Amino acid sequence: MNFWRRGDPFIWLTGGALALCLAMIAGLVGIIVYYGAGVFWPQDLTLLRLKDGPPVLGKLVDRQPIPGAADRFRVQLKVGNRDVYGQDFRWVDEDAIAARQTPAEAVVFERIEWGDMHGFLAALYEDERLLAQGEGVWEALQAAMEQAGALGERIHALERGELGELSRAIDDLRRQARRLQRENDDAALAAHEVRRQALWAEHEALSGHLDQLRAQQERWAVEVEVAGGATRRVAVAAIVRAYRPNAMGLAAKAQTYLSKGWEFVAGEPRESNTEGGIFPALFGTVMMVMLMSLAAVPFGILAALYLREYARQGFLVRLVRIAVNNLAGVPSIVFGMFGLGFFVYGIGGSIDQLFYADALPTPTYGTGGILWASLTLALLTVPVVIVATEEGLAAVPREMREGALALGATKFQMIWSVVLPSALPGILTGVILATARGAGEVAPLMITGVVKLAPDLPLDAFAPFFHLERKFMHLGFHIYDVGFQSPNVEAARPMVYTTALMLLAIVLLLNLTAIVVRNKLRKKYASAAF
Amino acid sequence: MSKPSTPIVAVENLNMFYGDTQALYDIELSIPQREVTAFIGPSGCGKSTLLRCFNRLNDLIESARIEGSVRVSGRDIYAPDCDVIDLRRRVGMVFQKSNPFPKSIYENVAYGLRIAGENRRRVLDEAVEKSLKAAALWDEVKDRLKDNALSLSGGQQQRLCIARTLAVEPEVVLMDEPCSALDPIATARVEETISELKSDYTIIVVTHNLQQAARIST
Repeated sequence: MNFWRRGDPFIWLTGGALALCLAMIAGLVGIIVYYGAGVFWPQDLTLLRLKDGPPVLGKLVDRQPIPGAADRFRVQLKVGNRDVYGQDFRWVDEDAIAARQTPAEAVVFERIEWGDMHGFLAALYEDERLLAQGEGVWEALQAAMEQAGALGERIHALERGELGELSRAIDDLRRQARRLQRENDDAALAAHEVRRQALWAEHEALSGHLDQLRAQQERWAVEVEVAGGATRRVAVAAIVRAYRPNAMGLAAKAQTYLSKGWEFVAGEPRESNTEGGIFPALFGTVMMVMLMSLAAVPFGILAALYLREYARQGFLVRLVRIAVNNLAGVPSIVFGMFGLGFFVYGIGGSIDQLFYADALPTPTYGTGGILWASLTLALLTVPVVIVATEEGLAAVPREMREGALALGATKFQMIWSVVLPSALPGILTGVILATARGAGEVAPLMITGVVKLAPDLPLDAFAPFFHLERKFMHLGFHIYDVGFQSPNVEAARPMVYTTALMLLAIVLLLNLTAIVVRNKLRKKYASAAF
Repeated sequence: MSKPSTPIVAVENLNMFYGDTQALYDIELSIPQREVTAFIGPSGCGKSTLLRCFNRLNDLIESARIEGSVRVSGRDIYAPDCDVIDLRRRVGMVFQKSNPFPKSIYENVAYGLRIAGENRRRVLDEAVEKSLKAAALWDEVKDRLKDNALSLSGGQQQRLCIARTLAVEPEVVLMDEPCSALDPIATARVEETISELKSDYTIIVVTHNLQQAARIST
């Protein structure tokens, strides 16, 4: 009897509920870290000699009992060489395996196209001439890769820099020409044509130079012997990274791990996003969240100030408050539809008509872009900011307000110098919640400006630096795209977990910054309210 | 003070309502200058409400309504042309619960001057020192004026609020049960402070402690 009266079961119930919540969160993070953090670790290559048929070389990824046959197992290998075998993975019955070896000379080639190649390095060619074979070929490959890499960097710099600038200049000229045509200004048009041709010639020359560089880069090729006896030629320029996992010590593996991890964070995506890096998505996410906060936070705070401090607390204000609260619960895709209709087609279309008429029918602002996506998300998060700000303002004790008024402060002075500082920590809590919600939202972005692959970042070194009309990449959409829309879903699965890990880290980082700021403020305005 | 002076606050036929409930009935009152006047009575009898009529703090309550007249220094404070901001500068108030702002000790005392547009460092420094000395707090805080006011003890906070009120040099200081939230030692300090202030200020105190009323008023 006492047991029930003391409320022991209730304590157990509350404790259990909390434990379950914690377990679910820990499980979520744990799974993502478990699958995501190990992706870049250079796994050993296993050579399976089969009782019948050619040997298989690959990374062991799975082991399962064979359905319908007791005590017999099969293993799954990632064999790579998609261009040779037509598939990345292969199941092998354990009964069929004669021997397992880990040959030290087995090499993993990460290629720009076709995924990884697993095999043995046979020879290195330069301009169809045998450069190295057998002993020493590995060292020769390193040197060739260095040279090809240096060339690649030059090509990349030229493409990004001068070639890009030329294309932009030609584009501008074409737009001007179209306007002149409409105005029938033949003299100016002729001058324009001369300039356009000069630029075009420059463009052609640079393209020719680039082609030469590319041809130089293509000079080296390796011959790779894949498991099963066939040999393949691979251009050195097409190899991103080559390593011999079986011959590597822990330190060398860690180094490769870090280098791959860095490529993932700072590099461009390859192979329809399933390989390479996620930097554009990372950048797009952070920039979108910042633009969103920039739009949502001031508006939310100002609106809440009016609602709580100035508006007459009557029926209308109650109605507005209910509406705002409900707005926070509207499905995000609905906001996306609104963003598309109002921002993209409405405002964006009008901007195009007014300022970018020369470029029509190609839309400039009248299509999805980072600005519209950010504003749509700002709309989505503004209710959270308003509600939190209102709560923060309501929690400022009445004595504090009266104290300021009794000293002869106007209402504005009271709000500005006493109420707002006291409510700031609470307001920031709301901002943190809103930012976190915005950073994780994907659905409304898909129809207001996120794309699978954006050629340019929305912020770069070319005037006017901020290109808010550009489409952008986003980590959340990247996860969906890589995980479910890529041509090779199974091979892309590790990338999904690493990208999810990255998204988690970004949200955590953004929140952590905000929390640190809030705690600083809280110390400064240590009030009893929070 | 031996010589009876002209009343600084004069109340005539004051009726006050919260919506349909009447809180004050026909108050007639005159309060002499430079003395401590105490309002005593049971809880809920309207002492604080009356006090809040003197600096129009009841204006904040939407349903509050007032009939009759209140004159401070001869001017009707409920006349339409009365400047409420100016009135509150002339009639300061110390609250039941100490309410320092979440700012430094210095900024708390200087607040009233700053919002009135005074930004000259020298003037502010002088006013802060003078007010803190008048509130008998100077010696305790002079080395940590930059500290947050909320780091002070309860009694110190209440004396800081008194100093803050004095800094704008009001004609009248209203005190709404200033010691009710304090321990006996802090109460004694604040009472001492009030007694010392009466030679320079007109003080109206609400209390429900007869001994206290006797100690501080004359």
